[in-house]
Amino acid sequence: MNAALDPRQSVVVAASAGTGKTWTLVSRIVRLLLDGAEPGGILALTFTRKAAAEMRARIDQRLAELARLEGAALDAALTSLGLVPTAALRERAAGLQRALLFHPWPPRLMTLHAFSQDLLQRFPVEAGVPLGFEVLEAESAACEAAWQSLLERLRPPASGAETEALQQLARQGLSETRLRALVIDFLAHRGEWWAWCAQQDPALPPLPALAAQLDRQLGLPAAREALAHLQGEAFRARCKILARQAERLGGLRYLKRDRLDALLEAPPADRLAAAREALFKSEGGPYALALTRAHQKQLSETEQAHLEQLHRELVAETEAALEAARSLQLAERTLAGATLGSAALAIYERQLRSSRKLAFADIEWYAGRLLATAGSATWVRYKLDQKIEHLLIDEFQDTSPSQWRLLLPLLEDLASEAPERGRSVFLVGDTKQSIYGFRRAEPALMAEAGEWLQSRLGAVPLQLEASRRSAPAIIDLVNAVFAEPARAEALAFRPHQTTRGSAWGWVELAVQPTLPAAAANDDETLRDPLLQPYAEDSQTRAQLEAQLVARRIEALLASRVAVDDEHGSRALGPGDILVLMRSRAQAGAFERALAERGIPFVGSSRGALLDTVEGQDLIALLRWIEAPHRALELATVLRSPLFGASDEDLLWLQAHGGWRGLRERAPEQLPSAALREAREQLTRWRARADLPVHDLLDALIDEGEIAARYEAALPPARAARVRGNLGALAQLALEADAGRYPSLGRFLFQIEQRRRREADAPDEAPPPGGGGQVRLMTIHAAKGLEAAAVFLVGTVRKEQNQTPAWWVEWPREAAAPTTWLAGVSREERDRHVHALLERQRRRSQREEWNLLYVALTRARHFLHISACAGSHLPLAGSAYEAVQQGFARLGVDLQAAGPWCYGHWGQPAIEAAAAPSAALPPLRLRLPPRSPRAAPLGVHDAAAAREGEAVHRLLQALAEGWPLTEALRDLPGPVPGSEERHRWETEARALFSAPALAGFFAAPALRAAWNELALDEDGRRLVIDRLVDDGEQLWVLDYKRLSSQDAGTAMARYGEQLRRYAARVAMLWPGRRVRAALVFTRSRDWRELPLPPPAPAPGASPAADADS
Amino acid sequence: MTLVLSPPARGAPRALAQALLDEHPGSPADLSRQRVLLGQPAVAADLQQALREEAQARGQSGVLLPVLEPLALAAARAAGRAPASVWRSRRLLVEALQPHRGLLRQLFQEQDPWRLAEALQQLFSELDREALEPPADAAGFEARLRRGYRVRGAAPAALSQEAEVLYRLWGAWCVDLGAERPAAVLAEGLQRLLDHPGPRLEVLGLDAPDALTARWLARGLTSGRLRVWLAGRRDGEDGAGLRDWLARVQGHSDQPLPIEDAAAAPGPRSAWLDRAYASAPMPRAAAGPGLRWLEAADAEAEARLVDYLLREAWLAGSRSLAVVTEDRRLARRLRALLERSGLGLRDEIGWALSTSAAAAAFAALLDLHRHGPGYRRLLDWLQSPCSGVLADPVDAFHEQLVREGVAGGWTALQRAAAAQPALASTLEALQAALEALPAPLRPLPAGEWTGALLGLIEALPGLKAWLAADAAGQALLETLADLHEGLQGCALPLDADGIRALLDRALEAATFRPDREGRVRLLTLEQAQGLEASTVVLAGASRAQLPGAATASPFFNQAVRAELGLPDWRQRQALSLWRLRRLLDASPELLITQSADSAGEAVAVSPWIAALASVCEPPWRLDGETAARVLGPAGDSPARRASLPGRRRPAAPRVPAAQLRRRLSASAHQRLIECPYRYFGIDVLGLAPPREPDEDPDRRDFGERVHRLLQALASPQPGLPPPPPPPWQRPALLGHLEGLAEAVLAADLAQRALAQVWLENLRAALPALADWLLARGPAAVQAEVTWERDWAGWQLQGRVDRVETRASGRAVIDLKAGGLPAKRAVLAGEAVQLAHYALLEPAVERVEYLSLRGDQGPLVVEGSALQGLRETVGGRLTRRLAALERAAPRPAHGEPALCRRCELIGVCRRGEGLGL
Ligand code: SF4
Repeated sequence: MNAALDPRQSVVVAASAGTGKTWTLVSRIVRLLLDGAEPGGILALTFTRKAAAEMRARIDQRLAELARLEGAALDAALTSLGLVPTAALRERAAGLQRALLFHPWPPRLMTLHAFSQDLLQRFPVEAGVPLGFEVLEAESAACEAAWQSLLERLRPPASGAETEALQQLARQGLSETRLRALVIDFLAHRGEWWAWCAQQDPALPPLPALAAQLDRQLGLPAAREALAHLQGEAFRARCKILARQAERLGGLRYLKRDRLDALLEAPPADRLAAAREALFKSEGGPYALALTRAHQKQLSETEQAHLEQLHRELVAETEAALEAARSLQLAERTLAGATLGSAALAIYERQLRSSRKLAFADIEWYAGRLLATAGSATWVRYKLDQKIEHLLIDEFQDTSPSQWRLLLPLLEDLASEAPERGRSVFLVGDTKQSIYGFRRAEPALMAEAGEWLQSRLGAVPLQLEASRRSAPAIIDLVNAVFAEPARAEALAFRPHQTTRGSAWGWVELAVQPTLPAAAANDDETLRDPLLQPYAEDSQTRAQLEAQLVARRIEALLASRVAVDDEHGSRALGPGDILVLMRSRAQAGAFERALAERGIPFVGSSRGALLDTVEGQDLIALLRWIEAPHRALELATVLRSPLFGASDEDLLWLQAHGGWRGLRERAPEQLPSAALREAREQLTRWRARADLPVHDLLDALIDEGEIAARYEAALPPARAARVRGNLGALAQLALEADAGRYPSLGRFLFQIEQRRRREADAPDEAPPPGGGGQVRLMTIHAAKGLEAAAVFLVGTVRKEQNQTPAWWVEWPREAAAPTTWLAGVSREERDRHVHALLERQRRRSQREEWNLLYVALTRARHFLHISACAGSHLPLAGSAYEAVQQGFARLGVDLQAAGPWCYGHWGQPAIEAAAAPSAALPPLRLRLPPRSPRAAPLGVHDAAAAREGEAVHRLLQALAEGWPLTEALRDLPGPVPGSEERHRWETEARALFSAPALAGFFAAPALRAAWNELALDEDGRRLVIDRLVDDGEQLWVLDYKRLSSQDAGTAMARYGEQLRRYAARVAMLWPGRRVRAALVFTRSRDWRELPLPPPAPAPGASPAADADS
Repeated sequence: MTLVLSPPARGAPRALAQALLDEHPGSPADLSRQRVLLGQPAVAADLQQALREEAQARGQSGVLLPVLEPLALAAARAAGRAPASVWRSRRLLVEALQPHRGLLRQLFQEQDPWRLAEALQQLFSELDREALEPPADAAGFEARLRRGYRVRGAAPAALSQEAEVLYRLWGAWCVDLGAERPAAVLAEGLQRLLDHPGPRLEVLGLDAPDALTARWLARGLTSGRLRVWLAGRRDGEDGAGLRDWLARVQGHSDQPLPIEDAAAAPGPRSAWLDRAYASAPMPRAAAGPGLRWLEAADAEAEARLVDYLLREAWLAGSRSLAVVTEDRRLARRLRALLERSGLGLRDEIGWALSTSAAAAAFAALLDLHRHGPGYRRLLDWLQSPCSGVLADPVDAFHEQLVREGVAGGWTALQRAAAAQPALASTLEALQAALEALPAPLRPLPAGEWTGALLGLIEALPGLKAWLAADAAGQALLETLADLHEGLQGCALPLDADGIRALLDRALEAATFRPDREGRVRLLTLEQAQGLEASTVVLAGASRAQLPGAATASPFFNQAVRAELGLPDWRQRQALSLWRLRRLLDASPELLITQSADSAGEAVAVSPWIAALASVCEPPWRLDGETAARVLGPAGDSPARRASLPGRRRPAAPRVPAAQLRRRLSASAHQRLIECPYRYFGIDVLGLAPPREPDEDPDRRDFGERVHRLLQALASPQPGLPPPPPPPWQRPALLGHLEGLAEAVLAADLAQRALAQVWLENLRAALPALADWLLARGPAAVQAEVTWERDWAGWQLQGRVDRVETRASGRAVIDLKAGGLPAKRAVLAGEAVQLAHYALLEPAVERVEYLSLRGDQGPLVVEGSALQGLRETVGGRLTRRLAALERAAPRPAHGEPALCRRCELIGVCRRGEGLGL
């Protein structure tokens, strides 16, 4: 173990499930830090953000521990890191956490994606990516947009290679769906395509290069020859001999005369089809020659032999030509697909560039290209703020070939100066846990990388096989299942041990439920749809299994068996249970069964949020607010717990003109309280359609009391999640359009896109079961998780054998993919496709075993495996069968009645009942809105406002006696022209000298005067145009660019504001008389504003908050 | 004068207020001649508050406020000219880039020149502010970069390129801007401020001076013209920022800076923080008084927690509340939550203009111009508040467009609007205004575009007035005007997308402050340097916000920045920690919140908060009780909860006889069999959603074309070749079918590339179809026949694809473009379409599905099997209709696969019952 932590040594660790991989990795980082490595030089890469976050948390935890521990405990911790405690080391360990907290460059623990993104953000120019790019979330929408633009471009009367490709594909019989998939899937493989293109001869454009590759790989010249041969005269002549012989013999049993005639008459282009018709059965094989005794009598032996040979040759040549035609068709489809695909890709790239976005796959590719470009890697090394000195990679089995290509230059760089600079690489993974083939993970790269590191960095290989997680019974089963030779070999499996020797462990294999005999189809009594729902066999089967599993979970919970965690021993609860399945499609039946039993559960992923009842209802409500004519949405909202309307209400609505009818009627005319409430609420909400979506949604949630209503209406297990979901929806609205303001219509459109995206996205693990809920998820999502009890369900399932749109092969040692073939249906496959599929089958078989391995090793104490086989779900080759074999190997008698069990059971937990928590008082607060920040401007004309400001300033300058040029210096907007200046100055001077205003401006007569005087009004700033103290009284003056003819309106409009000013002045000079006036600059006179009697007590503020 | 340093617990505004009032003891204290220059505008409010409180404490009636000016503005005013605007500066760079295109293409590949100009402008302005001048030659510059990058030996080619290009462009930028260079304006303005006679200048809130300002500070301090106010301490980890400040300013003066330490005994919190951030670690201790740390589960929980804490503080009598956060998303969420209780946010940061309704509406207009009048785009505009159209007419219009399937085009849209004259004239004006804009793809000088956009606003009646009356609208008008001013005279051509990109960028950068005023101040850490409040919440205290990450500039790394004298990442961190320390002392009640999880992954806590946690045991996680209050149902009134309707029984409505629609088509019959509630929803309530006008054609449309083909074989159809006279020969028939196929798809082929696929699909099916037709034998053929029949008082209906009448009886053929139902389902009465036809017409003696797909043969039911089916399905139908007459319930019990695609799932509430 300590070898894995030695920072001077590069290491490759193969760590089986539960063997403390993360512990080792974290320990190595801590050890590096203790050894004085520069923190910023440590880079630990993972493949998921979750793993990165977990690693960060674990390191923080370990450092905090070191800071806290003292004496022997600290020494033990240091020893476990392979260190010899000394005083200096102890001190260093104690201060390490704090030192890192204030360090400008802490260690980087991030995903490979985040690292690549960081790299591109720092090197956009060198990498050729848009400056300040954003990460594209809606990748599928961008691909779809590219496809739509391509179609737009191909609209008639377009012509050219792409149009031709489209026509070829249409002629090959591709459906619209298939055609779209061909292009969209090509886009999904763009990283591989770019990698492939980069490996081609630069002189040759990619499509001709692909054509040349296909020619080579599929042996197309020979295929063309075989086809030409069939179309040639010689073949026809020999067919004619066959036909003649048949005729001479009075007909042959299988070789029909009319078909032979058709073959002879067929034009060369149709001859292959005719030959197949004539010589082959419709289901495939050739017709036998079938010479009867009578025929044999008519022919000499030589003639017979000749005839037989002729038939054999014609069959073989036709077969070769058929195979050739398949290869040619495959090549044509591949090329046409690549033609359309690369055209769409060019559009995609253009669109992304113009919107300055990059998807994850693009980021990886550009980062890889940046590092691989000659000279770039050195430059990157210089320019990166934190030079990489120690690279650690977690879960290496999840690396794809393109990611490996990205990592290689980093490794090369490390290897170039490793010994002298003490640089190191640590790589950990487990090929048995490689389950992301669909994300192009290539487990074979683990061996490749291991060899590379051994040869270049002298890395040491290590194996971890002792589980720190699972009880012996679980490990026994794992060992037994994978002891089967084929499986052991495929996984390179070595028996595991466990360090949890005394922990209780129980594994059970459930009996497969038997289907109740199907009711005889009695013609007299068809199913009555009003009384009896329709059910399919397969669903019934899944339901049966789900019901059994739910019952077993209930019993398990009732047993209150004790499990341990960091807080000690307690009874197993719902949060300790994982239900794992192979595909998300299986989840529905199990969710229903758990719901029916009232067992709290949480289904997979946040993606389901938009599919929850409350999510769907809120979306319906938003859709209705956007367009109230939408009757379906209105019905949904009415029937939802928001209003709880009945079906009778809907019938009433239908008879009374829908929403319009509802709105137009007085409340008392409505038949139910629900409709009355709906009328009122919906009218109010509809009027707020132009609020920002998030604010609207929040208002709906708050005013509609949605949380409380749904909690009351949903089953308790489900109600617990309502508030969380509503909050998550509100958060979603904040995210929409990257925080920009989307119109309601756009928001709904984006939500719909998101829903689709999430439905397609791989499953994600639901949040931890802290909330006391059983977690249902796919095995893929459960990677990296563990639980006290695991139910592995649906272990007999139908193979999904969908033909992908593209087959792309990238062997581990190659720098780019070596094979590109468009998907073709079963009948269209030639031998190359068959060979490729065989390779893929072996890989996916191995991945299936890996999935089983991952699923079994999630369990700490309890493991339950179930299935429900049927005629179309054969047991052979299933995970269920593998487990059965494992049980047999463990000596369990499978002939005895099931369920079959192995292991020993735990003790029930002893626990004090928790005290009921006291009811908490609500904390309600409804304050009136605060008065607005500023009085409304009154002038919307920017030019007029500017002019007002200018004159205002000039007046101030005149009053204070400074040069007028200074006054206009910093006037906002363009520098005023001389004519403009002149006009303003004239106006200001005229005002200043106006006799009616002399009392306000004649300086010597005034005791004091202030211009633009700012006062404080409980935190607000009031600015008075001019305040004059004439010794007797204080005048608050407000300039208006109006004439006194408008005094009435002006007083009404500005009186309130002026009164606020005056009141404030009165408070500053208590006891002094304060008067206020509006000064009209157009008529150069003024009007006094009558003021209320002075405020009774100082300190009271008319504008202060009523509630403060 | 002096630099007055107050301890962190006493904000600089407070110290300044006290000093000013000491100097102006009158009542009211007249500070109106005093000028205070602000490094950060938000401190104005803090100073105002401190003056109010201090004056009150001294028994003064109040204060005539001093002149408070942001330093940059005061300097520009003093200089008498404004520096070049951002857009002008960028535009000059874009123009400067032109002559170097060859070299640039090599280095910058396909970078957008405007983006590049933005990055360069940021860099050059920074260099400028730091009073750096381009070195005399490129080699010198390269040498400095090499030192920065620590390159020993040969320089990488990329370094030389970077050096050369930046050197050239920097030089060009300085020359082009000349006296408009921000640094030139600033330097002149600062100088004049010092030279200007008048009372001493107070400087507040200037904690991050650039080199020019630092020099000015040094001169002002040593000459006695300035008095500078800062808060903080010089030792400890948190003192690094102030140490940097002092070193920076002192570096510009030979004389020591006059510093006055405003001594004050630290309170218990301050003393604790001093020790917690001391350079040497302190022993573990109890948490600092008045500090609370709370960690919420996720972003939503954190927003609710902050909302809760503020409400709690208000109810406890706290009246000055502030939230300090760098997390804009949290702020937006909080804004809505605080609105609920009426507390509201008073935002001093300002919201990005791009998040405003005004910007969205303007974007909708530009979309209409760029992408043409699609109905969704038009509705986007009409539904925006500034279109001036009322909601009801827009909705009626929307409904009409959907009903009539109008996807776009001015003519069709105008026609649909004709019924509403006001709307019609709005549309006319809109069309005219949009058509007056230059064609979207036409490259035009940028300035012309901005002029045209301003013109568009003028051209739409009422739009400008609406914008001017709205805070964001006003900001939009100003942003457009700025852009126009900056791009005026710029000859570089842009098309609509190009100008849109610039506009979007401008809208993202510009901010606005909404008219509504809240009771809770919202500030960034930078703005909060002078803050004092009775309750302060520091929200979003994660590593991502505090300290955040070094900005990733495309040019230089941190070491080169340091080499060139630009502020580097270490200095920025020191500054943030200085500010944070000040904030932690800003209030008797200080709450720090953080979310534990963001989008499913753990959030790293701010190391500086973790540093506090490392010396004490904080009440870190949100305790159960608070969590229950914040997130749980405890906030609702128990009485109200009790009055809410509980779980409902599964839906099974009864329809009174009076509301029965006694008509049953084949598809309605099928719905009745599959799920009676679905039948209720679609056939009784009429809730089937209409098709959106812009939906792509799908298999339904293909099926419809194929039916036309079949119809044209039975009788002449307009626009299609007439049926060929019998007897039909295969080759001729095939030829005819070919022609028909092309004719029925002609319109599609002219419009959609994918119609080619339909054509080939159809072509592939033609030989089998021809064989099938030839095998039919003589019969009178009708296509698309509608049948009706009375059945137990109901009217059965059906539209049959093809009817063949022979002496023996009639055969019904239904053509399917897609897959066929299983024969099992047909015979078990689960797929009833064919049986329905048989019920409609007693003379039918054979029913048949014909599939166009090559892999499925026809499905035929005839003879006794058909008779049996007719009887069982008919019998069941009679019984079911009778039950419906008796208002039997119609349960919602579709099978799960059906429910998954059923539009009525929200109406029947099946999901609710199952709790899914
Ligand atoms: S969702 Fe299912 S149960 Fe509800 S109406 Fe549709 S088919 Fe029937």
